[in-house]
Amino acid sequence: MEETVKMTAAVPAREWLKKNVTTVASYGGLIFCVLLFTIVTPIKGESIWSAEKLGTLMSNVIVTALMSVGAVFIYAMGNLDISIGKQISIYATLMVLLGNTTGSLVPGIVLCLLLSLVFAIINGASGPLFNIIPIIPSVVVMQVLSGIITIVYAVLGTRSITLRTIDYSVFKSPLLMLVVLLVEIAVAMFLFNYTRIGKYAKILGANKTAAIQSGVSLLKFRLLCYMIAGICFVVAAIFQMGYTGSASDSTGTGFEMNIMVSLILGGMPISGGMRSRISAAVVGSFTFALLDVGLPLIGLPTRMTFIAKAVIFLIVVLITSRKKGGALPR
Amino acid sequence: MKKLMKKMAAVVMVLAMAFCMLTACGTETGSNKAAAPQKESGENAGEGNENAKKENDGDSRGGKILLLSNVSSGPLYDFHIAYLDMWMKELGYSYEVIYGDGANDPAGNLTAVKNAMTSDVVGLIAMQDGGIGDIMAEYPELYVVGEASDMVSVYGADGASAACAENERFLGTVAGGYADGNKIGEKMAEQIIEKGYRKVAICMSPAFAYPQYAIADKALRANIEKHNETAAEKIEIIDDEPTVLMFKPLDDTYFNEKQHQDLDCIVGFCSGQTFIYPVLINAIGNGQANENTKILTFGLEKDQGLVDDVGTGIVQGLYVPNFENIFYAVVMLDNAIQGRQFADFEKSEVLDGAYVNITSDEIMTAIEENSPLLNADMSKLALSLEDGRQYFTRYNENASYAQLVELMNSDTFTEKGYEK
Amino acid sequence: MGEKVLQIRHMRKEFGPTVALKDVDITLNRGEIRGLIGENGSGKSTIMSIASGMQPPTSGSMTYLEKPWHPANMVEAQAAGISMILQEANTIPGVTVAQNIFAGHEKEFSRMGIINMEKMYREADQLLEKFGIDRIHARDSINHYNFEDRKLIEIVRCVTDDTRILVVDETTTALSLEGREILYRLIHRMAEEDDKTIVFVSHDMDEIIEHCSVLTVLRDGEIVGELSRAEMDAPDAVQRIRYLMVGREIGEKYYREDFDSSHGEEVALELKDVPWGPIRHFNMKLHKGEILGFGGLSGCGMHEIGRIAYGIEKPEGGTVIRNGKEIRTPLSAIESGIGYISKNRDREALVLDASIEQNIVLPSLRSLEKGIVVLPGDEHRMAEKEIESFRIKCYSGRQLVNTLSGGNKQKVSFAKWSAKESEVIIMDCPTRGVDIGVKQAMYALIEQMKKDGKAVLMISEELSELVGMADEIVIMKDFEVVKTFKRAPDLKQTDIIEYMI
Repeated sequence: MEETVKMTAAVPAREWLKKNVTTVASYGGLIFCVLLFTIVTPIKGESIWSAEKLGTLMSNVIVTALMSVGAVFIYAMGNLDISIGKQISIYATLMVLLGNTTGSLVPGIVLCLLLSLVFAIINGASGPLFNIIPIIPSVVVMQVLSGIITIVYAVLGTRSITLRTIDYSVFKSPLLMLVVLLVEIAVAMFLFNYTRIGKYAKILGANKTAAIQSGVSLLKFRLLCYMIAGICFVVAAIFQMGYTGSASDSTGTGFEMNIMVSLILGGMPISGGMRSRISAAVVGSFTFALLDVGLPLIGLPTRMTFIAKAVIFLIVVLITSRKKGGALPR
Repeated sequence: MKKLMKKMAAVVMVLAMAFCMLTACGTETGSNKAAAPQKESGENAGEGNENAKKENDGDSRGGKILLLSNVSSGPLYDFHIAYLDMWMKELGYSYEVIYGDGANDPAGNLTAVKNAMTSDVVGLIAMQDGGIGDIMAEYPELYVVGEASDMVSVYGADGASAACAENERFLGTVAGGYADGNKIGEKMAEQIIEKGYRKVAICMSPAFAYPQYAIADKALRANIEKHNETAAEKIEIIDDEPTVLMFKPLDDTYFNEKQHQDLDCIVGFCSGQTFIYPVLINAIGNGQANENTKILTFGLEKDQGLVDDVGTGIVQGLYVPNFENIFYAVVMLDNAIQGRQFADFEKSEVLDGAYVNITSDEIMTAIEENSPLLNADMSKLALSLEDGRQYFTRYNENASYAQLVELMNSDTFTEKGYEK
Repeated sequence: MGEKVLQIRHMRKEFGPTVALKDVDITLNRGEIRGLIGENGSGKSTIMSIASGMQPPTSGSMTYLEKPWHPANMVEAQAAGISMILQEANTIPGVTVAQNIFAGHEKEFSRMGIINMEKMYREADQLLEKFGIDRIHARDSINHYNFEDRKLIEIVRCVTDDTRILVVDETTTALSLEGREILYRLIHRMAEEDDKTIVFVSHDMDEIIEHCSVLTVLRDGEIVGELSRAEMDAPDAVQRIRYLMVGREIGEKYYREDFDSSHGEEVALELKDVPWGPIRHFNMKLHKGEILGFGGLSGCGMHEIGRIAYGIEKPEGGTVIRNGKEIRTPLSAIESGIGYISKNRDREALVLDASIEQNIVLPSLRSLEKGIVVLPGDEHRMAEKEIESFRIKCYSGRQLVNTLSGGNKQKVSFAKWSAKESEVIIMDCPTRGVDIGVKQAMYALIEQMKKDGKAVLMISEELSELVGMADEIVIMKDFEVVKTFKRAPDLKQTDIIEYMI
């Protein structure tokens, strides 16, 4: 055992690259997009760095990024929540309805926070309590919310509702978006990396049995993770609603998919575990939004952006999900 | 060997995934096909363009026009592509089709416009109204005109984008058919009486999405009631409330109910060729429904079987808001962008869109052969490029808004426009 | 007899920076049972994994049946007659035993794409019978069988009439006595009657010496010695092999040398009248400074006792008490100072994808908290201390646990509880899959725990270590305690075995 540390510094470096190929690929995707659009858009007489386009980028990214950051806590545990889109929809609807009746957004936001707690309990706690996989309750929540939303809009007799008296223009400010996003990222990173919540979430995703045998309370921490995510969803819903001051029966449609795509693009393993990172949510959602904004600027027709996005997604997935090199049999 | 297999499997998977993604956005292939005839019509338009240059002083302003589309395939879409190819070339603009939110969500529409926004965009033709106010607030320089939409959020009571009605850059809209539901109901009642149906049921798209249909339903019932007061043979309308179709076809169980089994006619305030026709055919096939049940409905499908059926088979009345109504949007937008607004234009408004009423086999045949509705053939337009020029102020200084409105209200864009 | 079957020349295998095999020459002959022994990481498994097509060598050549041999994968190797039974479970869950046995051979039973299941079941049952495994039935779902039975099913799958070389890689660790007997009978029959070649990879010296006809010892990717049957029978064979394996004298001291079975009076952990499943009214008292050993066959219920004591399994009655408090969950167990090292190291004790550091600090995170913050520095210090004191072979605490050898992994699972300063350690098969050098260190550690007044509950399938380490040995059979033995110099394994079976 004398030869305990005999490896050179070069080895960890190479090992690091091997281990972090996912990170490199996902950041690489973002950097590539930034470079591409920075270089090519001026040729077309446009600029991705114009204040207007940065604003568009921000408004494109904000909702997905806010949601994805929260969703990392759920995905890290290896869980999926497919009710997120409908949650956003019900939050936005409530905020508009209560905003119009009370003249303030505060009651709506408070109610939504309370509601998010209920969803967190249903989605997070019913798994460990009734021994079912967490996607099941989220399917139930999704279905129920979907029904409620349909009824609400049928009763209202419209497909979309709008804030009447409240000035929501503040939520359109890219600066506010940036600040809120940065604050949320900072808080989430702190919780994820420097407290037991995030550490346990990763461990639960990597090996639930070992986590429980090492004293992790599945119920408590799963609930906490869902609660944190729920708060992030409410914040996202505020910006979703504030974008046009309105909510509709289709608000939030497909958001859970956007989250999944962002996280994968950001290099997050969909099975959760130790390689989960908050930065995946940020990198992924920015990459995707950047494509949305940048591709039309370099002259690509809207219909082609879908394909371009799909191709970039495939490339990243191919690199990130690549099988790791050979391992010792022992 | 094993590795090779794995690699091959990976490649196959990737191809499969890519394929899925491409087909999932199936509209892409559709639009590419649609783009194909672009060249032919482009050549035609090219000649026109030269003429235009002769007539025009050449000081026109160019730029890009966005079409916020609510369809991404089908005859309406193909027609729009061909029509814009022609007119935009003529007028010296480029254009791009962008896809609005599938459910007309304000945020989705705004995002679609924002993403496509480049510095040369000068105008927007919107086929749906969600978030119009937000779009105009975001881009105050942009000229916006509606088409195939009654823009209820702008002109409706308490609409979310009501401010646009006062905005001079909002140039009005032409509705997809009658903007007033009462007129639609009235029209249907007339058809029922004329065709002599005695037992009628009503199906309808949900009122929260299409408020005018709820009004049409009530108007239809009122008109029939009025008719019954004097008529010898009364018309019965089954069910006190219309059957609501939540963006999906009629449920098979509909024909299990006794009162639906011996109908003369189903009125579909919806796209009945897709939502009612197949279910009815099935029900007739297995003996559940009266084989003489007919359909009166809206919309136009390209499928040959459906086309052949109209007038001779089950669908006895098909009312299609003419695709050519978009002419209004093109004129209004061009005049405004060129800074040559009609002298007599005061305030934007909703115009009724002209219907092509297909109520017989002859009319259907005429539409098939003489109109661009099914084949996007620009040589068959009711209002050709040449004839259309007179409505633009850039070609005709004396052109007036009143003339344009008159054109829109005339029979030019009805089925009569395609009679030989 | 004696005819060459497989020749390996100058084989070298590298995994990134690690050299698993340096330059190995080995020749396998017909009818021999070749033992391959070496510590973890010595390369003993790598040799045969290359020969059986699991991975290609970095360089070197192989000659099989006088032809150059380059297997592309395990299927090809198996078809050519080289079969390998792996350490890890390799069965397909959710299907029947027969489907597992004939996985990849469905064609033989199919007619126009439809598989004749009846025929498959019949043949599978015949095969099982031929191997002397009568308690496994071909029709049953494989999920009904435990790890050990699945291993046997795997053996049945691997071994066919065409098998020329059968590689048994550490399989016996997964097997109970009965399973081992079946396997031993099988390999002897194959070698002695059918003239086939068996390669027996193990680090259990006793079984190697008992069954092999020739033994090759590896160390650090090199062959360091070859012993004939006669040499293995020599009285000092064990010492000699150990010396070859470790490369230095590891000294005589291996197990505890004292026979002082005294311990503290204070009860550290008590099970009172606990029923669980087939276990009825189980009572146990573990004292401070005591090493209490539990032995028996693997299905005797002793593993469950450990799980109940730690709160993983909820007893249907009775109580598990420590310091007057009832233990209901692993969390409450940890808080009252109990640590548990699972028998299933990779699946339950460790988070393989996590780093050494993350694993070590896991149970202690709560005590490291300042407010709600866990500072990376604190984690790092705690882990470094344990890595050092356990001498875990790694370049950094950030290294992932799944890159470690079995012995080092086990050190990490010990270090978790050492860091937590647990007073009671429940260890289920603590030296499973661990080589001699590490074993020796583990035993020294357990002895030190006793001296420090900690209570140790040692559950083991290896009688020798129970005899060598425990103050008291409780033998279980069919979920009941059948006999207890006090620590004594003259206590022999053979005295105990009769109570186990």
